[in-house]
Amino acid sequence: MNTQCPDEQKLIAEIRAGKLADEMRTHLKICAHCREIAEITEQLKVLSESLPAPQLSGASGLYRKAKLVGGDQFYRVLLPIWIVQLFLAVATIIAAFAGMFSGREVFSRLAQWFHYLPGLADLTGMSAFVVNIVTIASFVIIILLPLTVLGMWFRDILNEKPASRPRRSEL
Amino acid sequence: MNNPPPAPALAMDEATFQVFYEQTVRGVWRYVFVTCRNEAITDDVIQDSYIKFLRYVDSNRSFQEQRAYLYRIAGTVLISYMRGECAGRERVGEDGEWPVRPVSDPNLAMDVQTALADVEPRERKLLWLAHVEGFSHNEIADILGVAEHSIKVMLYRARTKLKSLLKKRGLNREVRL
Repeated sequence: MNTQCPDEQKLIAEIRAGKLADEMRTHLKICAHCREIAEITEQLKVLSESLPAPQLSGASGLYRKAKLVGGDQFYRVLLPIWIVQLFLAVATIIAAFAGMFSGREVFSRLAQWFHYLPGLADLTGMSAFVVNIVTIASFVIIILLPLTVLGMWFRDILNEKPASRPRRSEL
Repeated sequence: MNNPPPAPALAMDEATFQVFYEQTVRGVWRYVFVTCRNEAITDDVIQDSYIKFLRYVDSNRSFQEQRAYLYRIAGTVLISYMRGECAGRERVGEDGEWPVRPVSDPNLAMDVQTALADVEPRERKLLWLAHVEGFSHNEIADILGVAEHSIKVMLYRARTKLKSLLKKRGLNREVRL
């Protein structure tokens, strides 16, 4: 009797509501599949009515908790990264202005390091303005960019949906 | 970078959630309880499920789709609990007594409860979702993460098993509605 009757869902809905229509009663007399469905549904309904009522805090309590849990988890991970990013950004802007308008190589020591890095131009012969700009740009790329990517990565993890599917044996 | 990253907003406003909660809490609680048979774990699972639901649900979906999504989350959260709890002992709540409320037919409730306890948890979930919660095969497939065409066969087997267990207890009667 591995079949399905088109009236199956309707029958379950009517039994759940506690009222069988006359049309459905007539159908039950001729459909063995639906009789079996009705029998099981009615028995499970009796059991479900016997189960205790949930002892849970109300909806507003849960809502507040959801807000707190979400926000707390979010900020615990992302806020420190954001503070470091902000600090470095402010420091970079101040350093950039200082470097551009001072007329001398503010980051001369840093610029000298580029000399030892393979594939990068030797900045020692260039003007102070260019050296400062290149150094600041490098600083932004090397430190701020990875931090931004890290922040975005954590944000994605925290926003990830609980989509893990159960193993077949656990269904 | 001038503003702190915004915390993820909840998908529903409080009033809408209140209505959804009132309409779903009893059903989803019973579903989890029947699967794990432990009131304390059920309470924890339900609480976590609603919190996850509030963060991830698509507010544009219909009530029925959101309800199915809640059941899916509850199933996943319950499995996480089971994995954690089962590390120290064999099976959560499997030997526990089911507390029952007085009903019109307490003997029938007790017999069905005993028969259902002998059915595998997976089959219990299936039967409950189909016959008590009234989900369609499509929705059950989505909740359990199983192909829709498998549901029909799995449900048939579960029903046959429960029916034979009920028959053994002398419960084989016509619908009285």
